[in-house]
Amino acid sequence: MKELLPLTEAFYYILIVLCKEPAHGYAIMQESERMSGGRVKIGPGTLYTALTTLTKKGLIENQPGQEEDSRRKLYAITAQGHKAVEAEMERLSEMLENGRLILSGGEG
Amino acid sequence: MDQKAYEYRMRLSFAWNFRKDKEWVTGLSAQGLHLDKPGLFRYRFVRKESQRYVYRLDYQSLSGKALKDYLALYEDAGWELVGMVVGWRYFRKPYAPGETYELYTDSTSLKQFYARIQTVFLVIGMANFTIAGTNAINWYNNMRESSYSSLGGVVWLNFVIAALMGTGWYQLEKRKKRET
Repeated sequence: MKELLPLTEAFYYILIVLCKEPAHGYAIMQESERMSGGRVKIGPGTLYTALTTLTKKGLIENQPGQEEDSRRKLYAITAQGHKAVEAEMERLSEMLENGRLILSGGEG
Repeated sequence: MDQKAYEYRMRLSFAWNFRKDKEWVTGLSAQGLHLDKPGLFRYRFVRKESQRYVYRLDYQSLSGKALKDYLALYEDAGWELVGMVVGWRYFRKPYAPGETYELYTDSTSLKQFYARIQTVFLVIGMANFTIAGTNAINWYNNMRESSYSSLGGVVWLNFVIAALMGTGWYQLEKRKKRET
C-alpha cells in the first residue's frame, strides 16, 4: 500500500468520488471539479489514463452495469482502494498538523 | 444532406511537432476554416464563418471495448472525434471563453502520453536500423562480387527513417524532461 502513496491529485479525487457511489468517467470529472470549487479540472486524457492505471492496480474496478446506459463504463472502488484513500488521508493530515503546529509557534 | 464546399490545405509535419499541428488547425478554425478530415499531407476543411473550434491531438493505441470507453469519455467531456491519421486522433470542441482545453492536466499522465509516442518511434526506428544494417552487409557483398547492387537506395531509406525516429524520440525526451 505504501508504495502507492502519495496519490496524485487526480487519483485522490477519483477515489473519494467513488467512495460515495460508483460513477462514470465524466461524472467523476464533474464531481471533482464541484467538490474542489472549480480548482481540480481533470482533462479527459488524464482521467482515462488514471482510470486505466487505478484499475490495473486494483484500486478501482469496472462494475458490470445494470445501467440504463451500457455505453458508459461504470467504475467502483475496491477494498484496496478504500485502504489507499485512508492511508493517504492519514499522510495528509499528519502533514497538515505539523505545518499548523509550526506556523502557530509550537514545537514541530 | 447539406451542401459542403471542401477546401484543401497541404502540410508536411513530423509527429513530434503535433503541438504545431493543433495550433495550425485551431488558428485556421478561428478564421472560419474547420478541419474536417486530417491527412498525412492533405487536410480537408469546411468553411463556416459562424463556427469556431479548438483542436487537440491524442495518441492512444486502443481497440474494441477499450476504444469505445475512451471515445465515450471524450465525447462526454465535449470532444468530437474529427479523424485519425497513423494513430493520431484529432478532436475538437467548440470555442468558448474561459473553457479549458487541455487533455492532459497532470505530469503523471503527460509523461505516460509522451512515453507512448516514444515507444512507437523506438520500435519503428530499431526495426529500420536493423533492416538497414542487414541490407548494408548484403549490399557490400554484392558490390564485391559483381560491383552491382540495387540495395544501395533501400539502405539509405532505412537509415533515414531510423534517424528520423531517433530524432522524434529525442525531441519528446527533451519535452518530457522540461514539462513533467
